[in-house]
Amino acid sequence: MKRYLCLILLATSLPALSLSDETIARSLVQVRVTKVFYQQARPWFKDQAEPYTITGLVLPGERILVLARDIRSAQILEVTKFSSYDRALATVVMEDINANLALLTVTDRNFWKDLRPVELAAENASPLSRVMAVKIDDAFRVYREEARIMEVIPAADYGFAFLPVAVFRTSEPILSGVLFKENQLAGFIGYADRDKKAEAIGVDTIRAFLSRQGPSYPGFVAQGLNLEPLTDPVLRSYYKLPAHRSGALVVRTLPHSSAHGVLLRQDILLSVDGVNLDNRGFYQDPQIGRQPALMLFALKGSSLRLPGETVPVVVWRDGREQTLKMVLRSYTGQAERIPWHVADQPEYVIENGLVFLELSIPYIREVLGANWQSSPHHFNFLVREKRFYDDQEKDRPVILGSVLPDESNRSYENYAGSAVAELEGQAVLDLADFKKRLDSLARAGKPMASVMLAGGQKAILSLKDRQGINDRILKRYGIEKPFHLKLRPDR
Amino acid sequence: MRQLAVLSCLIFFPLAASDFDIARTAVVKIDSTALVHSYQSPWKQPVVQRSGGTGFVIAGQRILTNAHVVSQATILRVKRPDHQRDYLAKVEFIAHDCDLALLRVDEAEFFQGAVPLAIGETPKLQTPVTVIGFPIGGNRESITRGIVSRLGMDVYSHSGVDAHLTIQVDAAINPGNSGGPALYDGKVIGVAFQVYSRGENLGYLIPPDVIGKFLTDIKDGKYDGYIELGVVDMPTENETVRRYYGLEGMPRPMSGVVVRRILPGSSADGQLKVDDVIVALNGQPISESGDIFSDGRLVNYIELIDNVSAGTAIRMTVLRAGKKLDLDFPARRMSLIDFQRMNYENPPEYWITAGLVFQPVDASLMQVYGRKWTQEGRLTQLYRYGYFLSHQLFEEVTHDVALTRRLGDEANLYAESFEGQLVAKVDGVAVKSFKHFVELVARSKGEFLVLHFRDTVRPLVLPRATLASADARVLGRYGIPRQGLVRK
Repeated sequence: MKRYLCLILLATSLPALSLSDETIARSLVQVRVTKVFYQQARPWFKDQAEPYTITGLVLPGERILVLARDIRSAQILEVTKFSSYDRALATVVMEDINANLALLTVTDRNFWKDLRPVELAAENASPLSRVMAVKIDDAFRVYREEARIMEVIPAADYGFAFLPVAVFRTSEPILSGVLFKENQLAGFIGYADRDKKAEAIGVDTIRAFLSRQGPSYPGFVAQGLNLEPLTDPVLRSYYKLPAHRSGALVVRTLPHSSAHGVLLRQDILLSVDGVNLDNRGFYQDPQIGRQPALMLFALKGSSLRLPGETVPVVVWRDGREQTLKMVLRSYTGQAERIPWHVADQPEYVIENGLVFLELSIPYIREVLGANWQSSPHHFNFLVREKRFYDDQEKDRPVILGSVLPDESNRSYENYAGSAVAELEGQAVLDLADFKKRLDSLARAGKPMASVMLAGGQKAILSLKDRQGINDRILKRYGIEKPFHLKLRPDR
Repeated sequence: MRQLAVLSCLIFFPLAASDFDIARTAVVKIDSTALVHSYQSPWKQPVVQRSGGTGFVIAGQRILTNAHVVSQATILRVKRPDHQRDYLAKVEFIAHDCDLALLRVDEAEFFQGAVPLAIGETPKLQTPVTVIGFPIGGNRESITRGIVSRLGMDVYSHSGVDAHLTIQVDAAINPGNSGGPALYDGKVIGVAFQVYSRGENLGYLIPPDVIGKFLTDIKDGKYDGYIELGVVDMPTENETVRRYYGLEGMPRPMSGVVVRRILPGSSADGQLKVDDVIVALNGQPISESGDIFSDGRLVNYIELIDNVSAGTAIRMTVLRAGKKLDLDFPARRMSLIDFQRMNYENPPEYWITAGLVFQPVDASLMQVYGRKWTQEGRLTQLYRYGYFLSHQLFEEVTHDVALTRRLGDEANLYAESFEGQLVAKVDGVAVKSFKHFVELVARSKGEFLVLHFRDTVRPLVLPRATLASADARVLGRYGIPRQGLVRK
């Protein structure tokens, strides 16, 4: 009896990971990321960001899994492994910012010889299950800590495709690392806060990402809807929702997403694929517990849904129930009027030393600083009001980003940071439209063009001696090109 | 070393001693007992707040001081340093927009032996000044000295929005100095009124121009206040701008300024037009940067208009579509941004329905909630208040209305998320002002009172049938004497 008791105690205290430190070290690499970024207010200037190191996971097929966010716009990726101080250069095979996953490879075959690819667990870690959170330091020393999955929630690192992530807490912050369960990969740590709470991307997401490589890569489902609770019985009565029905109020759908064109603002979403929602827009999942409706568009049972799938939804609209079919779609970047991320060189147009740009979050962050979101600057209000398009809109806010002092723009110095309202009395669609119309005015022999700014101020641009002015300014400030515009599908 | 310091004072401030001698019978200490209203609980009785400041006797047996020294005062006591007792005083005139007030003392013996101070002229830079007052609550007068280091237009913090000419001095000015005279050559060349808290020894004086305008304004027995030209202008320093507006023929640098925007209700409203070029004021040409040469110094033309009283004619020469026009129009007060002036005169407005407290978003409310809303990231509230003029939000509203508090009750169990938000519509009608909001609520006839807010799609819906009983219950539960206060 005593022996049995002893064995049981041993069994419960066994760690969920029996791999040796050396075996783990063979599965992880360190990736030194060097990024070069463009200044947003003066986008012809490049700067090098402070390099940083992240953890990569070795996968079968000579691939390294990393977070897409970490390597986006990287110029150089240097990989080191446990057995050598040598640095190998890696290249990006594919990335998906919505899943926040990317694959790297190293062309030197010798690099892979003593590495050990990790096997993926069969399914995502479920709430309350025990996992081992692992990270490595610069010397490839392994730190491991047992953790318990607190909950599984839908999360979207980039804000569009909400996918299941496992939330756990460790005593030591693990900002970059992996989760193991029974010697298999149970998750890839995608986010950690200062409170030592972290989120791990599930193996289902990783598996889907790996299995869907190639030109027809479908991406992940972007739900594209915001719900608000209908817990107030008076509000339910106002919408004439019968007492036996429950659901949540649709307050926004995102253009080009799954919900757009199917759900309408002020619909009450009652059920998704036969699963009824409560008045906060939640349901009870048998495996992962109470979840918001977003999860029903990400998972069918325990499997990830794919773009292209059709999901039946029931809504309360115009005082009656309606069953609709929602075809799930991935997000391909068309919804943002004010983009969160600017992948490469920002577009600009320099006229008379005035630098015109399209408003972006990176520009606001650069101008207003790290706490930009708490600034009452009107750009932030524009972000709140106009970040996403509605229906067929295609405009982009054009701003006067900075002024390169010159005689031609004297007294315009204080106008920098203003939104452009009109060019020659007509609203401006985007930067390309602005440039095209300026060129057209110049070709038509107009000597000047007036640019109305949001504060009511007006900048008058000289078109008569435009070339001379622009050349003088470009030379003075060492700028190669007077504009940089890209071909965009929405133009 | 010590002798050197004294000597240097003698060299640089040869008249300081005589200034003090002249002023010593005129400078008075003011103790104020004020009743201050709460904007967080606007129905509450105001609380007693004591403070002190300085004033000085001027001609006509009156005491000049700052408005902020005597604002909301119910009891005012004034004491001369050579008197053994204090005297009750009353506010005769108060001007919050220029932070000046005039006090009266009914007991004539207070003024016996007091030599009134004369108001001098606006000093030049580097003029030595002696500031006299009762800083940090002392009972004996204190003297500090410095020089005039700058003259310029600055916002008067008491009103929070009005900008007038100020004199910057490097003499130490501390709490309690407020309302005290700054003297040069035996005359008052400024009234101490504010300091720059982030600068070293930067004190500010209200100049004789502003004092003179205040004393002239009240001659008819009432204070009318400052007028506004109400123009957003653009300089014409830029050659292309001059070409665009056909000003190439104007002698440089006297090409004036371009009218870019006209504020409704201002002096310029109905008189000037957008794209007019203002080239002269009262016959004096305006430069390409908006300056006029006046009394030996360059001043912005707005500064000169600032001294004009309501009803006085503003004479302007403008170029309109290439033609020169002489315009003559009366100066007017503008009420457009009254809500952005601190309120010291009246108890705060509010309206409670279903335990939800609604208030107009004005300067006084922003002083209480501005920081909280900043911390909570309530950008809409801050943006709409801050950009009210420049983004022409006055075309939508007179001011915004906020749901500031929720007094917990059965009627508002689900309203918590609306706290701090701005009301956009009542029963589908856009809200223009606080008064309009209360009218719309009172006029609501349907089954529900439906409130839409600026930051949420989801409305707040209240059942009309139960509102009256809920209101009575809330007022009783929280000991609130009345449902609201709405000024006409």
